[in-house]
Amino acid sequence: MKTDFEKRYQRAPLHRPAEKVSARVRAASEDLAARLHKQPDRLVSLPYYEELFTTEKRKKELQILNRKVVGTYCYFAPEELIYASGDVPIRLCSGHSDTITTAEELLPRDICPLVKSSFGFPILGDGWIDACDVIALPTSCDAKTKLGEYLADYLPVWMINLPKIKNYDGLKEYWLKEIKLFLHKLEELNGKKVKAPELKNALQLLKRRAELYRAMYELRLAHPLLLSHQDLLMVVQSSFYDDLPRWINQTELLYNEMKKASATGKYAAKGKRLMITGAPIIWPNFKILNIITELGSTVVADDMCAGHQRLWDYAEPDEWTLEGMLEAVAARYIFPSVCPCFTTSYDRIDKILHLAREAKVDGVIYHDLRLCQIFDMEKDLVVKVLKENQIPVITLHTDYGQEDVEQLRTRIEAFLEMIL
Amino acid sequence: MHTITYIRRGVQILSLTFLFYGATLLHLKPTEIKWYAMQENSRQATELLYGNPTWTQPFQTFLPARSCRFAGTHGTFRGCLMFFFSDILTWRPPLGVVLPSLALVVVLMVMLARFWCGWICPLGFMSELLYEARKYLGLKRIRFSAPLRNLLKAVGWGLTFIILFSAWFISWSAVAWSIKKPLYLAVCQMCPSKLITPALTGFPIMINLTFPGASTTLLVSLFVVLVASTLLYFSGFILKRAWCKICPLGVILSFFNQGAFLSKEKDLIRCTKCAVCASACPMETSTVYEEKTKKYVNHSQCIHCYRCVDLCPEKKCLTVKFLGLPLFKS
Repeated sequence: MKTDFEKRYQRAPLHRPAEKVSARVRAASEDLAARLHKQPDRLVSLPYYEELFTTEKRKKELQILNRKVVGTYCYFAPEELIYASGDVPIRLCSGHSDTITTAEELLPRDICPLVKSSFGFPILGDGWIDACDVIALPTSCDAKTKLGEYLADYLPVWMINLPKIKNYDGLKEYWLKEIKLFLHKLEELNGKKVKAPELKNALQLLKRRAELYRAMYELRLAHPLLLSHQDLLMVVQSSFYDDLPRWINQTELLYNEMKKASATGKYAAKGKRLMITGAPIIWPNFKILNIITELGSTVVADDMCAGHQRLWDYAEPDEWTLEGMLEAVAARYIFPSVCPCFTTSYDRIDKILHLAREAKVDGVIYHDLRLCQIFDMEKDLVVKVLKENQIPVITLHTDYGQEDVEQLRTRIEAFLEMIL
Repeated sequence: MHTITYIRRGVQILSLTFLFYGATLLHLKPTEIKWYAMQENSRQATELLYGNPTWTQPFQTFLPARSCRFAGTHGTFRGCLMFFFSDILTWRPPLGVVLPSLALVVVLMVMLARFWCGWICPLGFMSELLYEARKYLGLKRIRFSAPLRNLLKAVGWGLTFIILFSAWFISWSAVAWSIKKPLYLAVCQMCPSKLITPALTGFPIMINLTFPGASTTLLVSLFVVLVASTLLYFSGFILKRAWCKICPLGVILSFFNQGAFLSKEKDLIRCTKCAVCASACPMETSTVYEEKTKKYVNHSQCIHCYRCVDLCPEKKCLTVKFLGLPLFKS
């Protein structure tokens, strides 16, 4: 299988299977699932999603499935193309803190916890990466750019050269070429060409997913506690792993249940309405959300790439020819993205202001993952604009570890008291 | 699902049928020809007249769209706005005679601006049909690059100027007949509709490359422009609405796009700059995509097809208003 790294210089892949670490990883998922399970008045369709995180059922299914599995990172690996070529995308971004020490044996300490946590899994020989045939890795931030060379020791890696400047005329052509190159690699992997009807099906499938999510989002604006934000992120992030048509069917059931439950009127927001912005909060690193719930407030919105943003956008082609659809796919990943890896933060600021206005939030929590420079550098302007718009905002500098939970609790408590 | 596009297609089909075949289908009787040029006492002017069998349409008035005079006896209107303006400049009839038609045309023009291009103009509609045929065949689309678009815009302005200036210029008595004859109605001499409309309606195509006493050089060069613009029109097969980018009638209408009764507004905060509008725009403008400071997003070349509004993935982000009343919403 082709890889983007020619292996001129090689290093032996590091393997450190450790049952202790693997057990801690499983326990973290199970603990969180049990905790979510105990929420009052929880909808009955939700345990389905927990299973994806706590059991190995889906992973076994993937291993016996006669389809290629493409591991992806970030928001930018084009899912449409992977589905159109008949493969399965699995997003490998991880939120486990237990694998970080394992990864630090090879990776430097001072890089973002998301990359370290995700890289722990190939070393352990555990997790979703086991089921993958190839990895598609966009060069979104510095750590992800360099991660490819490490991952190439374990699996073939395709880098996706992500541009950093959102400039319509120039970027469109360049990025479209990159998308076509990616499609070409997929076609080589599968040994068959992707035809327009297949791509159209994939686009429509993902559009259905987006429409379903949008309907849920709108329902949640008035009744946020139908799904606590932990549950919402769980539902969103389970779509990284689940079979998509099955996930859509299940989520339609969930949506219908939400609609029925919303009539009872007991799911209105408790306490302050908050919004989370910033670095991704990925299962099982839900500590900030848990603290907010314990303090009696509700998170009603977020703009994270592993949350709201992941399912919000879809490709909308002007014409359903192969070229037209590829253009739409290319545009869908770059232009509406709020990722700070682009040079401008204005689109992100607009998105935050819009969500804050629409969800009527009382305050914004800026989640700043330690050692993620790009979110850190955007913070100043975002905070300034939010304050100008009379929206209180607090910045939380944290990582995947549990050490600072009490400290965070004190800060959030003070913030909630400060909001009028 | 894409409601606006479906409504627009319906309107376009109706308007093409009405403008090109209305007289036959509805059994409308031709009105008596009031050729106001007759009232001009200049001898040279009367000499210019020659029997023209096209002037038999039921409504001896004009529309700000290509309601082409070459639709012959099937057509419903006398001609398009450019034809009308050229005629006024050439013959300069008393205001009282042209006032009804002039008032109508100006009101329609100011009210709807380039809405005529996107919804009514049969020529625009047929170029979109050409484009649909390409989609059906699965052939690759080509986009105009930004410099080429600017060039085409300049060409459009140039053509408009030449047409209007020549119409006025040939009314001077000092100008020789050999120049007057070929330049008479220069707008029709270089319009692709001169070839396309007759082909559709069965009206005989008249191309004179030689004419007694007229300058052959001018006749031939105008014919070359006609061929070039027709080729540009048919390149609309792979280049969306190619001819519309230089259409002189469109150039005139584009002056009114800003103050027209129809306006397109954008909720600036809701817009995620996803660029769906920019890739959908048949005129390849990017105002709707780029604008982040002013809520009015009417580009001068916007043909009001509202494809951007139709495809916009953000609810209530784009709104079309008619005199302040919301008409369409994304």
